[in-house]
Amino acid sequence: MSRLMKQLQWNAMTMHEIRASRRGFLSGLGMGFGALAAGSLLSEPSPSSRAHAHESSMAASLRPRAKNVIWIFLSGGVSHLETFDPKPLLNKFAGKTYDETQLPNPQKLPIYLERSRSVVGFDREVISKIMPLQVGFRKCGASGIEVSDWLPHLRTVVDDLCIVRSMYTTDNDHNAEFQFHTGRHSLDEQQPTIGSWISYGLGSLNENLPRFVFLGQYKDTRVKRNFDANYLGPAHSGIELSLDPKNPLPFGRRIGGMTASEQLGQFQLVERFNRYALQRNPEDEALAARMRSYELAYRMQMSAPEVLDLSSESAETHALYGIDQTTTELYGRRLLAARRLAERGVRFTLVYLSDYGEWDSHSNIKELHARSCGRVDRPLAGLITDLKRRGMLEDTLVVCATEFGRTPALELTSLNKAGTGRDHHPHGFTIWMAGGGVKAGYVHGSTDELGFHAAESPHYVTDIHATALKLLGVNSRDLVIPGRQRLELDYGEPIDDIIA
Amino acid sequence: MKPVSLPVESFNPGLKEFVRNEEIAAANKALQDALKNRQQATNELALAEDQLRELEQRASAPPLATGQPAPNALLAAQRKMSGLRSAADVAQAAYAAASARLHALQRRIAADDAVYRKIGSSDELSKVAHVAENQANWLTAEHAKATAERQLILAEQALADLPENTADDKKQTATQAAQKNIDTARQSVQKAREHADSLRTKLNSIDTTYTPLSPKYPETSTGRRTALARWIVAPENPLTARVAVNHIWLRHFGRPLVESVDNFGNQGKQPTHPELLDWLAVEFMSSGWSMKHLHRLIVTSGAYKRASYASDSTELGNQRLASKSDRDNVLLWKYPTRRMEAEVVRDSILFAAGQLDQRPGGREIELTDWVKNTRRSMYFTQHGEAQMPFLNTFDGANVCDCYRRSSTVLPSQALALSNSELIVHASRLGTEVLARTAMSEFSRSTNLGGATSDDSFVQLAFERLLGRLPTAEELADSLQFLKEQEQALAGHEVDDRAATSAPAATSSTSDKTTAVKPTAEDVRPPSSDVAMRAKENFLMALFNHSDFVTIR
Repeated sequence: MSRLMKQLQWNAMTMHEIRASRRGFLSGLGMGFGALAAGSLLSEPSPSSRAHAHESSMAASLRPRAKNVIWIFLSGGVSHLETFDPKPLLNKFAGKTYDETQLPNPQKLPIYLERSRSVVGFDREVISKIMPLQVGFRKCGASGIEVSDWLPHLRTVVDDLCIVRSMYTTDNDHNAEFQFHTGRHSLDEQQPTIGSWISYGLGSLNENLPRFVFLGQYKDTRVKRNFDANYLGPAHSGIELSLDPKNPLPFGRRIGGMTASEQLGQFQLVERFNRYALQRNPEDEALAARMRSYELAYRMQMSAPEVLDLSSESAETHALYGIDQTTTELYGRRLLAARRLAERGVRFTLVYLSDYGEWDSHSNIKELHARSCGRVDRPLAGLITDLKRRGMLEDTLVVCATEFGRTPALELTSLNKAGTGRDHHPHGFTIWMAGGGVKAGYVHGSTDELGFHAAESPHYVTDIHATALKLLGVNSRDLVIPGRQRLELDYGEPIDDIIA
Repeated sequence: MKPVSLPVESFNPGLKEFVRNEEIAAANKALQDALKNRQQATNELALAEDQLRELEQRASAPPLATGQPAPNALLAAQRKMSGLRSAADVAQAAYAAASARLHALQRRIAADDAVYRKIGSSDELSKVAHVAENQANWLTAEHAKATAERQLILAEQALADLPENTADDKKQTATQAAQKNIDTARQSVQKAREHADSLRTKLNSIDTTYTPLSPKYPETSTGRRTALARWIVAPENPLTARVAVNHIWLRHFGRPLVESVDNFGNQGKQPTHPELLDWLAVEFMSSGWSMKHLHRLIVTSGAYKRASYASDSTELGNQRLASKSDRDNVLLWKYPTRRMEAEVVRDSILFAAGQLDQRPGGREIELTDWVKNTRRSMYFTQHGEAQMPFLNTFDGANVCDCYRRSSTVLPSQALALSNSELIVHASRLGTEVLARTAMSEFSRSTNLGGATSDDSFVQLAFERLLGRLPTAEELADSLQFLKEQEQALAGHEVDDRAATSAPAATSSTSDKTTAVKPTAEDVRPPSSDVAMRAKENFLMALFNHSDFVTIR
C-alpha cells in the first residue's frame, strides 16, 4: 500500500513537472536513500501496482490505452517494397525509366522537392530504371494483408499488426535515423528524442528500473543520438542495458568484500553531500541528474540482473523468440528482454534490432534483405505472440520502424554499375505497430502506384510520436518546456484512423 | 608558386646524424662479428693441427708399437684440416673486408662533409674515399673468392667421402651429383677470381668519384606545399585561426563559441560571440600563432574566472535572475560546470590514491591491463573491436569522431565509481596513505578545540580528492559516517567473515549483510581494522561526491 501511495505521489509530481516551472522539476528528485534505508523499495512491483498504473498515470490528459512502448528500430532503411507494400506495377515496368511508364513521373511532382532536403546538396539517382520486386507476396490472415515471402513468421501474426504504408521523411541520408527519433532534420536545431519525452512526460512505473532503456549494440557511437534527451536533461536519456548473461549490468556487483550495508551507508553519505551542493546551485541539471542516477544505480543493482536474466524463461518461450537458433538468437534475446522490461514497468524500451546501417542495401538487395529479414522475422513474431498470450498486448504498444524506404528504381552509380540494389528513399516507406490500442490487422495510408510517394494520408515521422503519446494518454502539445521553442512539425498529429 | 630550395640534409639524407650513426653502428657490428668468427676459426684450426701432429707422430712410430692409429684416422684428420684451413681463410678474408668497409664508410662520410658542407678539402678527401672504397670492394671480392674456393674444397671432399660399398647404380648417381657440384663450384671460383682480379687493378686508381652515403634527391621542391601552407596561415584567411581558437575555447569552457566545431561553412552555426572569436583569432595570428598566448588570454579572462556556484544568497538571487533571461548560460554569466572526460576520471582517481604513473611516452596499454597499469589513460589502445568498459561508461573517446565528446549522466557511472576494481583498489590504497599523513599531522598539531585524528583525515581527504576543505556540515556528516560505519562493522564482524566465504550473491536475493565474493583476484581486501575500513569506505564515498567528477 505504501508503495502504491508513493507511486501516486511520484506520478502526481511528474504531471506537475509538465506544467510547473523547470525549477520545480529539478528539485523534484526521488525520495532518496532515507526511504531506501527503511527497506521498503527494493521489491518487485506488485501485480496491484501494475493494474493500477492506469489510474495512477495522472500525467495523462487523455484516456490512456497503453502503459509501455517497445520501440523497435531497423537501421539502414528497410525496403517497403519487399516487406509490406507490394507494387505489382514494378514488375510490369521493370527496366523502364519513370518517364517511360506513362504514369506521372514522381520525380517531377512538386512534392518531390518540397518534402526532401538533401544534406549533400545533390539529388540521388534522378535517372534510373525500375527494379522489379525481389520477392513474392501473399495475402495472409483473416485480414488478407499482403506480406513478403521473407517474413513467414510475421505472416502468422499479421492480424495483430497495424501497418502504416504512407510514411515520409525529409533527409535522404542516414541522419534520417536520428530524425525518426527527434523529429528534426540534421541541419536543424536538435530536439529530445521520443523516448526522452515519454520518460519526461509519463514518469516511472517502477523506480527500480529506468524509464527509458536502450537495448542494442553498436560500434558507431552516433547511435547514441537515438536516445539523447537534449534539453530535457541527462536524467531523461535512454539507459543502455547489456544482455551479456555473465555481466548483465556493467559494474553491477559489489566486489572486494564490500557489504550491502556498507555500500548503502556510502550512497546515503553521497546523497547528503550532493544535496548540499544542489542547495548551493539549484539550477545545476547535471547534479540533479547525478543524484537521481545514484538512486537508480542502487536500485538497479538489485533488480536489473534479475530482469535481464533470461534463463528463468521456459525453453518454449526461448524457441518462440528464436533464441534456440543462431541466426535469430541475438535479436530474440533483445526482444524477450524488452518484454520483461515492459512487464516490470519500463515506459519506453528502444530495441535496436540491427547493426547500424544493416538494411542499407545499395547493392545485392535480394540477398541482404533476405538475410536481415531472416534475423528479425521470428523474434518479432515471437514478441507479438508472447505479448498477446500474456495479455500484455493490450497495454503495450509495439512500434517497428526504420528511417526510410528504398527506391522503386534500381541504384546505378559509377561504382555500382550492375544495379542490384535500391537507394535511400525518404519519400515513401512503411512502419508497423501492434497492441497498445491500435487497430489490429489494419492497413493505413498508401504510396502511389509505383511505391514512390506517400500518397494517401501521408505522415511525417512525428505523427508516429504523437500517436504513441496519445495512446499513452498524453497530448503531444502538452509537452513543452518554458523557453524552448517547439515547431508545429515537432508535435505531429496523432493518426486517429489507426486507434481502435 | 615558387620552387623552394631545400636544406642540404633534405636532399642528401646521408648528412643526417642518425643515418650516419646507424650505418656506422651496423658496420662496427659486422666487424665485431667477423673478428669473433676469425678467432673461433683460428682456434679450431690450431686444435686440429695439434691433433694431426699427434697422429702423425704416432703413425711414424714403429709399425708394431701400441697406439698406432688406424690408417683411415690419419686420412680423415688430414681432410678435416684442409676444411678448417679453408674456413679460417674465409674468416680472415671476411674480417679484412669488414674492416675495409668500416674504413671506407668513415672516409665516405668525411668526403660527404667536405663536398656538401665544405669541411676540409673536398678534392683530397674524395680521393681518399675513392681509394678506401676500392680497397673495400676488392677485399669484399676476395672474401667472396675465399668463400667460393672453400665451397670447391668441400665439394671435392664430398666426392671423396662417398661410401665405397653401395650398389653401382646408386653410386653412379651420387658420383654424378657430386661431380656436378664440383663443376658448379669450380665455375663460381673462376668467376670470383676474375671479379677480384678486376677490382685489384683499380687499387692504383686515383679519382674524386666515390659513393655518397645516400642517394641525392632534388635540391628544390615544387613549392606547392609551401604555397598551401602560406595560404592556410595568410592573414587574409582568418578561417584557420577562428577554427583553432574555437577548438581551444571548447577545451577550456567545455563548449565552443561556434557550436559546429567541424563546420564553419554555409551549414555551420553562427558564433555566440562573433567579436570575441575574431579578436581571439587576430590575437592568435599576431602573436605568431602562440597557443601559449591564447591559453593565457583565455584563462586570465573574467569569463574564465567567474564562479560556477553561488557563494551566498545574494549571488544565488542574481544567478536566478540571470538564468531567467539566459537559462543556458550562453552569455557565460557564470562558469559552465562540466563533468571530467573519461580519461581524466580514471587518472584523477589514480592520482588521488597516489598511484598515477605520470611518465610520458611508452607503449600503448592493453585494455585488459586497466587496473594494474597505472599509466595515464591517454595511452590505452584504441580500436573498434573492443572498448574499455570504465572509460566507455564515462563517454570515452570515439575513434570515428574526435571533435566533441558527449557527456552523459548515467546510473552505470555511479556503479563504476562504486563497484569497479579501480575505485575499490584506489580507495583502500589512498586511505592507507592519507591515514598515515593524518596521524602524523595530528600528532604534530597543538590540537586546539578537541579535534581528533579523524578530523584531520576527513580534511586531508577533501583536499586531496576535491581540492577544498569540507564545509562544517560536510565535516559533521563525514565524522558521523565514520562513527556509524565503525560501529556497524564492529557489530557485524563475525557475520561478514561468514558471508565472504559464501558463494556470490547474484541478484535481488542478496540481503544487507551478504558480501559478494570479489570477482577480480587483484582487489585489495578491506582493512582488518574496523576504523580503517570505515575510512576506506568514506574515501570511496568521497570519490562519488559530485564535486569530484565535476570541473567548476
